[in-house]
Amino acid sequence: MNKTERIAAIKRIVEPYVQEKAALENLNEETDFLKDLKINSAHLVDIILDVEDEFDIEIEDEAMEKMLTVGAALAIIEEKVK
Amino acid sequence: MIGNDLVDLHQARQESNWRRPRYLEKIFTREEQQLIAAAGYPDTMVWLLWSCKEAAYKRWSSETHQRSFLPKKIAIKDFQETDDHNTSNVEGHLQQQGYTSWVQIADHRYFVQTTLIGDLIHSWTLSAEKKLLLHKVELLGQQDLSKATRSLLYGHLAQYFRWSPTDISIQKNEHGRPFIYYQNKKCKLSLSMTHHGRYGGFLLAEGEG
Repeated sequence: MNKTERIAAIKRIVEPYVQEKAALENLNEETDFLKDLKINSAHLVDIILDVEDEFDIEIEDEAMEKMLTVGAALAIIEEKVK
Repeated sequence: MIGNDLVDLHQARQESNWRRPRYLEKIFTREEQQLIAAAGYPDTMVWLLWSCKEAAYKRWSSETHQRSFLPKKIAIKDFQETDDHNTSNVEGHLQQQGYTSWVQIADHRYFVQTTLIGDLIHSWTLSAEKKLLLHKVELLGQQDLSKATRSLLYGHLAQYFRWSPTDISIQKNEHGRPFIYYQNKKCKLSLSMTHHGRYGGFLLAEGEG
């Protein structure tokens, strides 16, 4: 899976939890899950679990702490699937 | 510094499945997981603890100017029911229950108060030197909640300070923390806002810091 495909996968995962649907159109690495997409913080846990399932990885607490943006999620996935 | 959070249990039941594998382990410390396992109403306990963490996180974040997702590093200690509990209304449906806890985040330790009224959970925390001015949570219905919560705040500010609502505005700083402006001048007030499901509310205290 290349970077574009990974971003598309992240977009697909977060979509059900997004309250600011318009921000989804311009989703990029800078996009902040809470500030831009207005995702409820309780749903960040769902996103982390969904990402773990999708990419068959385990995200530890240290990595989870940083997972506030699409770019951060991408970096964690890239690190783990190596 | 201050922080608050509310959970609409009705909404939480619809949109979150905390029973999915690994969910609780990602958010709660071992001690908190034991509280949930031992609770008569585990569903309620999950969200009581979550709202404590959220309120404490908001205060911590405004004090340290840090942002991260660290639910397990926000550790709830001494979670207790307060004595003035189980006041029911005539039909016996609406139960009110109070809780207190100490919440530890890194080297910060906060006293957090929580109430459960029917399906509404509300947690708040403020430093000892802070004077609380307004503390409101209301049923706002299914409209644009963020907008409705702001209207609720403007209405109460107008009433409390005898301001014209058109002179009031809210601006967020670079950390996403909201500040009140009156006639385009920043007020020496601390504000924390929250909304979920059908409810919205805010906490307002004296002093900017």
